[in-house]
Amino acid sequence: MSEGEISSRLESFLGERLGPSSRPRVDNVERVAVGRSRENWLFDASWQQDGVEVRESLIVRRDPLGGLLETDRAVEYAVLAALEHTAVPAPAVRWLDAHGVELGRPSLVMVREAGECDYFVLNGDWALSKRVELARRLCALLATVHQADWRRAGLGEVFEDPGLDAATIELARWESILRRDQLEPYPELELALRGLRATAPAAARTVLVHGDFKVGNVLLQGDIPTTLLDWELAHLGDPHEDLGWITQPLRTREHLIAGAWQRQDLLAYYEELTGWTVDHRAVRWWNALACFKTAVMQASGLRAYVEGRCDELYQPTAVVLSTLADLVDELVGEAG
Amino acid sequence: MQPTVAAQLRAIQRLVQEARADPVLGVAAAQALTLAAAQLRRLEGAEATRLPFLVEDNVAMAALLADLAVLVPDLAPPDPPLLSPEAVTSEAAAARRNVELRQLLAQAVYLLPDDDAGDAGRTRVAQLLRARLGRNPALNRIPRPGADQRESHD
Repeated sequence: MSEGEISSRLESFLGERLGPSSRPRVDNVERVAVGRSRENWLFDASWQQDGVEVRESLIVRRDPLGGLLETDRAVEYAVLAALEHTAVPAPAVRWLDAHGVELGRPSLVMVREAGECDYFVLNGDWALSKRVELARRLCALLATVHQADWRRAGLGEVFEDPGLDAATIELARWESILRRDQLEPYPELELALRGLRATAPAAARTVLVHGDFKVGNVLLQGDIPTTLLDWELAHLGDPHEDLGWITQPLRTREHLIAGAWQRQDLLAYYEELTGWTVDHRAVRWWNALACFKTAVMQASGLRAYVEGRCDELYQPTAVVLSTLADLVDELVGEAG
Repeated sequence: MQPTVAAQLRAIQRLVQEARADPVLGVAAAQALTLAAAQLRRLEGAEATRLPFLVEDNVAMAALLADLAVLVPDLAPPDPPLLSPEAVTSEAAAARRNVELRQLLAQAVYLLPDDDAGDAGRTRVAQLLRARLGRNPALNRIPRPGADQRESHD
């Protein structure tokens, strides 16, 4: 879709939402390259409200034709709306086009929050002490998400509480995505599935899980994390799930700093912040599930590519499959 | 084996068309061209090694499955038991055979018994799969447009 077309559709969409006298105007439309699972457009909107001009910088997240993930914009809208009443710094959400009737594809309009994304800031050019302090702040942000009162926020009406079975339910969810999207047999993933089923831990408690917590999904103002983005994989589950995602071997450059902020430092600080004991074996299981999810997303991306819905080629890669095999072997070996 | 060469070429054609339709080469068009270039490089690098890999992989999988069939007869590789002349000269035939054999390996994970002999069989399956990961030309990573070489797996 061209900038002109999205601009025209957005003006009509805002007019519908704000009323006929609002006379909305959309300017400075720009597609941004960041964000791999959604199509993101930045724009400025202005409209009349009670005789006064209102201006906001906004972002619309549209579903792509295909890619790594298929998630529901209506659920993401509900999560963001619920989070506005919590201490979790999420983007303020404005409007939803759940079925893409007005914007062409399912879309979500949010306030464009200030800040910058930098996937690898923890291993960038900043002084070590500043990077470690940022790592601690990111850990505190995750703890804030996990300690949000999801019942009071109304998220119990959006998601089911998986209770003790969070691990087996999440594994089944990703297996079902694999079955839906796989174009060819993956015996590597069958071996992993068998091992993961046999070693799944019981959940410690139920919290709001972000599902894709990473530095690249955090807006920074200077060295302060100000907004946590990309809630499309959020659900209720075991806090060890997010801990497993951020400590998985495939993402060490994003989350850890060699010699200064290592896995044990992160988990110990999380325990200090939350007062909860981390089950290290459970984190290792979720590390393996994180690799499994990555492989499944790559298999979904391959289907989208072959079907012409995505131009970027994805495929379960050797490093993902071998890391997954290592982690599952370790879990199965421990279980004896 | 997916993606087929034809599927990749179709994708590159789509990318090139997208870039050509843009009167001024913007960010998106530039990205599309970068993607196309990366995929072309991948094809150039992988195609020469694809058939030899498939033939070698098929021989290894068929031999393992023949061994495992002692425990579970359903795992016997379908006829021809090893390789037909076509399957060593035609990439399409070798790829079809590869999918058949990998399907049997996937089934072996569940069909092998839950005892020491079955576990030993699964260990051999795992060893074979690990060994092929390093040799498989289809599993080379594709650089993202504008990305540096730092790791990112999503």
